[in-house]
Amino acid sequence: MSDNHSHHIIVPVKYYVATFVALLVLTFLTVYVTRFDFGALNIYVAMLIAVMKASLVLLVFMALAWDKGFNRIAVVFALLFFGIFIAFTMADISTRGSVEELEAGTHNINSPVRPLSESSKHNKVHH
Amino acid sequence: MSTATGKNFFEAASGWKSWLFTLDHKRIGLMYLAAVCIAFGLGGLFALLLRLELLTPTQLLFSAKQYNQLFTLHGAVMVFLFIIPSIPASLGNFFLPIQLGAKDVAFPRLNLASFHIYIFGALFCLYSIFAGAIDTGWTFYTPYSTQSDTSVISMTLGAFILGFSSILTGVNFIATIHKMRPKGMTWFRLPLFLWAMYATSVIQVLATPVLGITLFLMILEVSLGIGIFDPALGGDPVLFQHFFWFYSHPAVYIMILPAMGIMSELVTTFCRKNIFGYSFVAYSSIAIAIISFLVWGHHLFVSGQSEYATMLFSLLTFLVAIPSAIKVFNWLVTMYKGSISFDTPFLYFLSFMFLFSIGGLTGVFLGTLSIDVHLHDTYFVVAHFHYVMMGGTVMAFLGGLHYWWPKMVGKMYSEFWGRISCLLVFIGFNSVFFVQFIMGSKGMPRRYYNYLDQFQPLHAFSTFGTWILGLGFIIMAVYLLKSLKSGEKAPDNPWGGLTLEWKTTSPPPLENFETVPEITHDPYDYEKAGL
Amino acid sequence: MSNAAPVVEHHVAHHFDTAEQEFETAKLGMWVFLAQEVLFFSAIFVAYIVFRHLHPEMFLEASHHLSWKLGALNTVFLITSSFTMVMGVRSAQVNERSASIKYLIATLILAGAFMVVKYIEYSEKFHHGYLPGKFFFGEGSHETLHLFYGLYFAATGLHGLHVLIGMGLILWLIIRSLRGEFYSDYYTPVEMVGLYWHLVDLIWIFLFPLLYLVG
Repeated sequence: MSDNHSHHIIVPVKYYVATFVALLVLTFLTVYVTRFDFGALNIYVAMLIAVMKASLVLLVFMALAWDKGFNRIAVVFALLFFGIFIAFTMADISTRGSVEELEAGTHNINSPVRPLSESSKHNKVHH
Repeated sequence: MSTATGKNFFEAASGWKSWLFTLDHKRIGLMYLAAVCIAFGLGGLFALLLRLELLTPTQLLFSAKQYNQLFTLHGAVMVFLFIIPSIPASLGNFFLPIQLGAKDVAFPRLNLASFHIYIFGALFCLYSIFAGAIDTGWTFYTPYSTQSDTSVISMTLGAFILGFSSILTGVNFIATIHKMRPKGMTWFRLPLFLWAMYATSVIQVLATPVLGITLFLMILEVSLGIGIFDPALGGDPVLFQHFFWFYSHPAVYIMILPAMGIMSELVTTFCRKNIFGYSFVAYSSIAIAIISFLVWGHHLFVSGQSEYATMLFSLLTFLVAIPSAIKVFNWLVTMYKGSISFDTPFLYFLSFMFLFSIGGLTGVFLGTLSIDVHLHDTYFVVAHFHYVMMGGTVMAFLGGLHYWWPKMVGKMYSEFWGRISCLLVFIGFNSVFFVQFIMGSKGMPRRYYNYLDQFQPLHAFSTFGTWILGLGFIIMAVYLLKSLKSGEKAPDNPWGGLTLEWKTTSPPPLENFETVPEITHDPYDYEKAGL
Repeated sequence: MSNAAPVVEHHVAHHFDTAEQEFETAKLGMWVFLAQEVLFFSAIFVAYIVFRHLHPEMFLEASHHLSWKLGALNTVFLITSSFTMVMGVRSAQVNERSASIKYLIATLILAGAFMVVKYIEYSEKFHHGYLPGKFFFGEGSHETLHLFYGLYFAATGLHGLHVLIGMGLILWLIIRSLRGEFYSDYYTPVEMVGLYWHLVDLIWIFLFPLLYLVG
């Protein structure tokens, strides 16, 4: 016996359609910005667009925009600790020094990578 | 007051299927209790054996490899099979809904799944013990763990599976506390055990998956050789340590927070007094949960981590000690001018106060960078974590077990033997571990199979201590099991507690209460209750 | 537009007081689980950030071996599937059972398409020797190239596993929908699987630029 009907918010279809279109546009943008070189900022631009897409999915498709308090807090804390994980690990990695040395590959590893042969050099970039 | 129908939850159904497929949180809690006690016995056996080997400076009974396997299995079994689930899954499962005033946890089927997953994971671990027992240390550091010829994959799979059990318990508890509080049970009328369980669940949910992915990546490393942790392939072994400790440091707070919750229950009941600083104790549980995620690098001080990261972690480690200290202070002040009864549960409370304080303070020493450089990987560390895990968590677990035993099974145990056992455990524990502080500060390295002759007297003393400790536990098992058969029938409220579980029968009925009492006062309001 | 067959009525579990409480509790539980999922993938992203920081040129080369077109196609598949999924949930909310089932089937097909593209990509990689770890025999001018591919396979493999699990859950929903188990007063499982499915989409939204569009 359903004594109480759910008082759930029914989101109008137009919100979903608009979000879907926006996501497609942003996906196009994700690829389009790779034509421009922002140098060290490249990754941040890409991530900014990704965050915008993610926010649309979270707020509209997953209804966080209309949800009660704790669900949002759960997301915030997950992202916060994820951020701390990245930040503190990078605090170690990025301050160890000798990054140039690592890049130059001076530590004689057992690499399984075969050196590029002459014929395959032009195959580097795929369609 | 006895139930109208006269039926408690044991009588509600019978047969092994009514246990294995139960949805009753109380039965699930009891099954977990049995399982973690067996795990404790197994882990303890490994400890007895490895300490036996350490009676003499050179080989006595085991080879070097077997010794490595012994301490690895002792650690892995104790951490993953015993201590992480110990309080939350057993006492937490049984009492969280009752103390809350609910009929069950939010997701009973998930709860049962959690238990089945635990058993499944435990079987994997047991299998790995017999199929080339792992010898890497319970911390599985690379690159050795990716090269060892022992059962690394099955043990890590076992731990991975156990992680899911832990996560699902956490999800269940968070949902239950948020959504199933009856009328009048506001957040600030929750018993402090529930605040502790909530904070524990937050850590379980957010930290355990990182262990999961770490073990997953390690399995890929072992089986496929992807190379991210292997310096010979261009990877970084310290990266593994970062990943591992990002979980394992918060994990130690999964271990201690429930214990602290029990401490709040014990001190209020056995001093017949309201807790001093309720909100401080409640908030400090949350603070511990949050800050615990910020300090993992203190396990990496001498690993090759950069100096800047090391300094950051050392500073944050000092911070995490503060909320714990607040709790200890508040419990102590609660005792002041209380009406104290020295029943067995309270003796465990007192043991915790003394032992955890030592453990916690020595943690601050180890968090001090300049000192840790000398003490890292010595017996000082071993003593520290045993003082907090055993002197802390296990003492509180035993206190909670003895406190809630009458409520769970409806029988009283022998108070005389309870006190004897507590004394033996206390003396035995200190005999084993206090000398380890001394050994460690004199340079005795941990996980070493052989050692210099000068350490033998202390090692031997420590080993003798394990026998006293073992005796204490054997006596405990005997009188607890005996009480099931021939113990005095327990009243509804043998200790005069005020929280909701004491307002129902011993054992409780299937749906916990005949009628859920209305909550009109704070959980430890002895003054208002006129007692 | 509305159901033809009789509806299977849902009974609120005994430990809940109202259907509303039951629904909100399920939702909260699912969000907590999703928070856990974020942390589950976290270490792969941390490893990515670490190695990209240490070997930026190698990442550039490695990424060029991935087909950004296939990656973009997969992104479109998943975003569309998120749309069809949420429409499926909404249809259940407003008692449009057959629409709900159609949207769920569409979601399933899009998820399948994603896996097909993945299969094509993996086969191509294997063919050129870009395999995980010790099976790697591909060519490259950076000796640490295999590290990228280790992470690539770990990340996309784990994500792919989540897609497969999602497909199983959606199939389960379709079956239950056909039986008439979901209607406006009870569509909780549809909503829960929907939330899970959106997370799968979210993870891919980040994986796509990080793996396919370096530089």
